[in-house]
Amino acid sequence: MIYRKLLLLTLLTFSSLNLFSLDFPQPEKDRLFTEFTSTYRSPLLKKPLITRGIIVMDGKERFLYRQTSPVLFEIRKSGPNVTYKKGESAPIAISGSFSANNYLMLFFNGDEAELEKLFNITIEEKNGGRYYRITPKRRMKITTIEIEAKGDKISTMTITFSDRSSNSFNFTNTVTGKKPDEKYF
Amino acid sequence: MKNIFNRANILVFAITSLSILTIVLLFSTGSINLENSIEKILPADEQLKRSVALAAGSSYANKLILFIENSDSEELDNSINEMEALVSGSALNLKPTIPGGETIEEIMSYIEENSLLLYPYEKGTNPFSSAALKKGLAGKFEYMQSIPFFFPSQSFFSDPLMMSSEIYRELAVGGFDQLKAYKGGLLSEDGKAFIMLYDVPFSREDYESTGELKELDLKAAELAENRGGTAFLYSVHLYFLESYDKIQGEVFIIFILSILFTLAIFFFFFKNINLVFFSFMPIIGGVATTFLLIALFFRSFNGIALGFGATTAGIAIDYTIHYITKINLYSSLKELRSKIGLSMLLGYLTTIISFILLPFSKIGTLQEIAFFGISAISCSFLLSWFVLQRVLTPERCTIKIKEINFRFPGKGLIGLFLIILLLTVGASLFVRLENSMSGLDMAHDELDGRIEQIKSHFNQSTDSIFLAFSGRNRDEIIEKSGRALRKLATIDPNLALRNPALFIPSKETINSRKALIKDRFNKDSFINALADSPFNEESFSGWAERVEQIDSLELTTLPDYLHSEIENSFVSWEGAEYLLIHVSERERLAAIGQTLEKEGIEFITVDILKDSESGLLLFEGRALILLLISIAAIFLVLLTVFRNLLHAFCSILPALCGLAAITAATTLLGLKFNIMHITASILILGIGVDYGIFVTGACRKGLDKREIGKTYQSILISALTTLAGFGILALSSNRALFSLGSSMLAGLIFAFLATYTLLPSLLGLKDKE
Repeated sequence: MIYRKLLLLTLLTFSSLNLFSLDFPQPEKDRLFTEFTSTYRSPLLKKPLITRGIIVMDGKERFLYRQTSPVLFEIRKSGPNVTYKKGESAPIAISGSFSANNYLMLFFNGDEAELEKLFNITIEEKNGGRYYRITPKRRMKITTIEIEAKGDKISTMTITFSDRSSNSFNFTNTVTGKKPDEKYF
Repeated sequence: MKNIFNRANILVFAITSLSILTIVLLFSTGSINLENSIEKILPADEQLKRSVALAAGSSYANKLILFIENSDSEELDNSINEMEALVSGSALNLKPTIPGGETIEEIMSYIEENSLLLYPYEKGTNPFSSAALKKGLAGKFEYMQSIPFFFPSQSFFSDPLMMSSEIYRELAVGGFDQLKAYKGGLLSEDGKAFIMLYDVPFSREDYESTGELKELDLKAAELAENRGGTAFLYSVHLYFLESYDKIQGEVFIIFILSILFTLAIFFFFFKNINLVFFSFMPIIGGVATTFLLIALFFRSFNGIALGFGATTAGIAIDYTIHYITKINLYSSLKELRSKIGLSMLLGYLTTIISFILLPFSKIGTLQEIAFFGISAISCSFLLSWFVLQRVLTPERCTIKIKEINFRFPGKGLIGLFLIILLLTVGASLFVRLENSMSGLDMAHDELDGRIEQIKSHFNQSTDSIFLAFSGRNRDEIIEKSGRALRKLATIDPNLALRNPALFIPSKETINSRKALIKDRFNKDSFINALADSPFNEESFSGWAERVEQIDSLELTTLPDYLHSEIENSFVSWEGAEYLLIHVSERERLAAIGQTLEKEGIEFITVDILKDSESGLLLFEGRALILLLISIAAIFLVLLTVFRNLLHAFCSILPALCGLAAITAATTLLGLKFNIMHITASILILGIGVDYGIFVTGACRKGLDKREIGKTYQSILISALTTLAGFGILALSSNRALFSLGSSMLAGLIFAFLATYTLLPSLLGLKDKE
C-alpha cells in the first residue's frame, strides 16, 4: 500500500500552484517535460536507492510523475482526480484531502502568512541562477529543502528528513513552455 | 302512519348520535397504541422473534446507497463531486460509512503495527522460513522503491516482512473493499459505477424525512442525467414510502368511491339518502363501541386486526338492510320480528361462531380479530335490534323502496351456474399458500431494478440477511466466528465474508499464534536474511526483539472506525450477545449454512423473510382449519335449529360457493392464498350464511311471493353495499388490499348467485309462484 500523504506531497512539489510571491520557478505556460534521477540515501539502506523517470505537465490540471526504474509506477493528476498506478495493475484513487501534517502543501499553495509562520526561506543568487533554502521553524519530518533553479527550470532539489535520510533530484533535458506529447496523458 | 322523517327529528337524532359516536371514535383511536410488529401476526416462534430483534438492532437496518453510473470517467468524477455536495448540503444528516483517507491510513497503520498477531498463520504458510524471509524483505524494498519522497512511519518498522499484504488479501477475500475507497466511496471494477454508503438517522416509518430523501433522489437523478449518466438512492425507507404513499392515495380514492357507490345504492333503492344515517348508525355504533373497549382494556392492538375489524361493517350492515327492506311488509314490529326475527338472530349467531373459534389458534392477531369481530358485530346487532328497530318501526314510518321483480332462474341458468361452480371448485384445488410477507406488499419494480443494478457492479445490498454467532462472552463469539469464517474461506473463497474478528482475534487465537511464532521464528535466520538484503542490520532490530518477547506483545488500540464497526456488529437480545455478519444474498447464506453444517460448526442465520415463511404457513394452515371447523360448527347449529338437513344445507350453501370462488379467484389471478384471503373467507362465511338463512327462513315461515321477493331484494342491496365497500379494493395496487377486494368480489358474487339460482329449486320456492 502507499502513503497517500507522501504521494500528494510529490504531486504538489511539482505542480505549479501560483499565488506565490517569492518568485518560485514556475514552468512557462505551466508546461513542462523533464527527466529526473533521484538518489535516496537512508540509514535504513546499505546503498543509496536510485530511481529514474519523467515528469510531464500541461497546465495546472494535467500532471504526470512516472518512475521508470527500478519499479514502474506513475502518479497522474487529471482535473481534481489523482491516481496511483503500479506496473500493470489498475490505478487507484488518491484522496485529494489535505492532511494537517503535510506542511509542504502549505508551502506550495501560496498561503504566505502560514508559510512565514512555519518556514524560514532564504534565496541566494548563485552560478547564474537562484538557490533556495527552506527550513521549518519547528520540528517536523522534513528538515531542509534545497532547490537550484535557472529561470523557470529547476535543476536540482534535495529534501533532507529528520531520520537523516535525504532524497536528491537531478532534472535534465527539461523543456518548458512547449505543449507536451499527448501520449503522456 | 305518522312519518317521522320530518327534518327536526332527523336533524336532532342524527347530530346527537353522530356527535356521540364521533367523540367516542376519536377518543378511542387516539388512545390505541397501534402495533405493526410481524410477531403477533404469526405463531409464537422464538427463531422469528430473534431474527426480527437482531435485524432491527443491526447497522444495516438504516443503510442508504447512493449509486452513480457514467461511462465517461471524467464525468463520473464530476458527478461524484456534485453528489457529495448535494448530500452534505441536505438537512438529513446522512453519515458516510466508508472511511475517508485519514481513517484508511489509521487502519493500515493498525494492520502493520499488529501484523505479527493479525497474520493468518492458520492458513498453513510460514512467514519465517528462509525463503519467506528473503521474499518478505525483497517485497519491503520494492515497497520503498514504489513511493517517491519515501519517509518511513513508525508502523513501517513493525512489518519488515510485509505480512500486512497477506492480511489485506484476507480482507479483500472477505469483501472488505473499504480499503479501496475512492473519494469516500467504492468504484466498480470497470470504473464506470460508484457507490457511497450512508447511515440514515431516522426510522423507515418517518415518512416526512423519507419524503425529503425522495426529493434528494430525484435531484441526484437530474444532476447525473445532465452529465449523461444515471444516479439514484436506494434504501428500505424508499420502499416504505412508496407503499405508504400509494396506499394513502388509493385508500382515499377508494373511500370516496365507496361512499359514493353506497349513497347511489341507497338512493336507487330507497329514494332517500337520509336512510344512510339510520342504516349506518348501528354499524358505526358497533365499531365505535369496540374501539372504546380496546382503548380501555388493551394497551396495544395489532394494525391488521384493527383494519380487519373495520371490515366487519360489511357483515353488520346486512341486519339493517334486511330490516329496512321489509319494514313496510308488516304492520307492526312484533309481526315483523315474528317473520324475520329468527333469521336475523340465527344469522348473527352463525356469524359469531366463525370468530369464536379463532382464539384457539393461539396467534395474537387472530385472537384480536376474534375480539373485534365478535364485539363489533354483536354491538351492531344489538343496536339494530334495540335502537334502530325501535326508532324505525313499521307503525311509524313509510319507506318507499324500488321494487324489483325477482323471477326465479330457469333450468338453463341453473345449469350454467352449476357448470361454472364445478369449474370454480376445480380451480380452487390448485390454490397455494403464501409463504412470504413480501407477497402482501405492492410491487416495487423500479426499486427492485435499482438493487439489481447495484448488485451487477458491487457486492452490496441492504437486505437484512446475516450469519450470526453467539457465545458465553465476546471472546468466545469472536473465536467461533473466526474459526467458521476461516473454514469458509478455505473451502470456497466465494463464501468468505467480511469478518470483524480479523482485526480483534480472540485470546485463544492470539495465544496459539504466539506459540506458532515462538516455534517458527529464528532471529539468526532473520539477521542472515537482512544481511543479504539492501537493508542495514540495525534497520529492524527493534522488531526482531519484539518477536523474541512475543509473550508480552499485545494488540495496539483499535482505530475509532474499526472500533465502531465492530461494536455495531454486536447486537444484544434477551441477555445474550450476537455477532452479525452481513451476507449479500439469500442463496449465498444458504450455501454458507450448508457448508458450516457439514463442518459441524455452530451458527445462526438471520433472515426475516425466510424465518417468517414457516410461521406464515402455519398461521394460514391453522386459520384454514379453524375456518373448516367453523363451517362444521355452523352446519351443526343450523341442523339443530332447523332439524332439517336440506334446510341446514341450503343455509350454508351460498357461503360454501363463496369460499370456493375465493380460492378459485386466488389461483386464477396468480396469487397465493394469504392473510387477506383468509380475512375475506371469514367475512364471506358470515355473509353467505346470512343470505342462506334469510332465504331458508323465508321458506320455513311460508312467506308469500312478495315477502320472498323482498328477501332477495334485501340480499341484493346488502351484496351491493358490501361490494361498494370491499369490491373497490380490487382496484388497489397494494397486493394485500387487492387480495381482499378481489376475494370479496368473487365471494359475494358467487354467494349471491348461489342464493338466487340454487336455493329456489332446492327449497321449492318456485312452486310458490
